[in-house]
Amino acid sequence: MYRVKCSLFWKLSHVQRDRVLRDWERRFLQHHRGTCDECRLAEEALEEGWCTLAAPVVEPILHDAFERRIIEALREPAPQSPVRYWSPVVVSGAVAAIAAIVALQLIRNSTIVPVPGLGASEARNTPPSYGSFPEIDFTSPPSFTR
Amino acid sequence: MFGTKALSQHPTEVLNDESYWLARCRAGDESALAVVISRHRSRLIRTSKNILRDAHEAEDVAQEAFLKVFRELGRLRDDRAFASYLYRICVRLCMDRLRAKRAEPAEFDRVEESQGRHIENRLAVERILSELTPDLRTTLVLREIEQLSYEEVADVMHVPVGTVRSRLHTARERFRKLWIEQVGDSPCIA
Repeated sequence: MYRVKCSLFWKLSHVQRDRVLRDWERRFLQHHRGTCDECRLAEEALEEGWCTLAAPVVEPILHDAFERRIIEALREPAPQSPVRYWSPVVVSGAVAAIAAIVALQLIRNSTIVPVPGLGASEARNTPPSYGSFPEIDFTSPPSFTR
Repeated sequence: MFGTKALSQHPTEVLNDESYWLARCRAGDESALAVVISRHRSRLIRTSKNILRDAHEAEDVAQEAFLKVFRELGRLRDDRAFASYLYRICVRLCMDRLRAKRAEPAEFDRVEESQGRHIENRLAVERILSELTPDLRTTLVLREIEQLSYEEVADVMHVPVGTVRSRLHTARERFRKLWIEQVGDSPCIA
């Protein structure tokens, strides 16, 4: 059965690989090892796993060809990286293209753009069709009775 | 890009200075390149091998890291950051490889039976590592094998320290469960 105490035990068991445990943490581990055989045995088995993991695999075999290959590769021109569509150059190019298209459209349709001082002023002087805005009297308290 | 130039004599302290060699690399001195490579290659190959678990692939990745960094050497502002920059590039290339394909245990298939238990443990570790995601595996290797601090792992993997802490806990828990499944028979598994 896996209990809350076992969960804390494993948490602390992992933590002790990185730092020195506090007194209560050390005491808890000691106590749990004494009471839970499953965790104690698993911890002993796991220690072998950590040792195997940490053991060096194979020492690197170093030879001159390693350096030579790098230096020879550096003599050749670097391969061109593929175009990234999200790169700033591509994005700013796209924005500039859209702006140019919009500007061209505006120039082409310039006849329907209102001339300053004429169309706009006429529109401003035209009274609204929905009538005047209702006036509110703030001096007297509102009455909700009909 | 690089031409052949001869090295001249210099005081020891100058020769030990990385920025001196990097300046010569920028000037196109191939012998300086060789010096810089020989200084860092062992660590790079070892780390790549620990992450990828494949000697040939590890060497390829280390070479790729050197090439990438030397080609961008002109953009490196602080020469003191060269070693960590190179290491970071190497680890990222390893992670890219891991994401592209899962590494398989090959180093330990051709060993004598006299080393039975040790080899079994080795194979179990390889299998467990191959089941971890690239992020968890790299974090575990950098901490447990390379013995980097949390801050160093965070810097290399370009993630916050808190992320390293949680990934490490997850990786260790996964390792524990898989290890007990493979070599032990304790029922105390969540």
